[in-house]
Amino acid sequence: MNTLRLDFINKRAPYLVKENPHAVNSYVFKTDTGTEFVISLQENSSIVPSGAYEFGINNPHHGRSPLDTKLKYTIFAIVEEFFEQNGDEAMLYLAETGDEKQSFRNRLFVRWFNTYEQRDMYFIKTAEGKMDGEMIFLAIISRITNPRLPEIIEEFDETISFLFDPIEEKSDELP
Amino acid sequence: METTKKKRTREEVRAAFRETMRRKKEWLEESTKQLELLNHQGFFNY
Repeated sequence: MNTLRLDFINKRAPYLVKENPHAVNSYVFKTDTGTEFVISLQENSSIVPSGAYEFGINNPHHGRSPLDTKLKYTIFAIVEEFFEQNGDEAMLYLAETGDEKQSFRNRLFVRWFNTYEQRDMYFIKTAEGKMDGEMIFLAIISRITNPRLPEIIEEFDETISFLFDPIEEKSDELP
Repeated sequence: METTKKKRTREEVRAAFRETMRRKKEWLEESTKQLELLNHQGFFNY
């Protein structure tokens, strides 16, 4: 992965983004309400075998901030810089969506993405289902100009077709 | 030369994903500890 330029991120990000000194390809920032975030980009080939980077967001104290547009634009400053530097890569977002609150939080990133001003520059595909009894949510994001895009979509679709638990068919017959 | 991709089986896909989720949990724990350490070091005092 090509390294992200922190000065470019901070030209666009409303919150000051710093490199996490304890990890590679990891960034930290703090919001106006004191909520701290760790962002990470790690190689992951489990969903797209030809290669993708998993976008991790950790907000350990689960501070609520769905209406914080500064948070949205800070996260998108990192996303934009990732694709500026890695235009032929794909970004993977995945989360367990156990309860309703968790589900809302985990889908927030994708909802933000769908209202993003530069949404037209990107392809995004999501999937949700049960794996080993746990609800999981996945999204794959790529620039539409990415020459690898057809391959990425094909691999994502194939993975999803295998991933989720088979749906149990209910029988109408009496036991 | 044309290369042939090895098709993964359903079990291979599911095993790889379980490993991903295990690593994700590990990362969540590690990054939480890193944040605690950064706070202790006054990293966010600006």
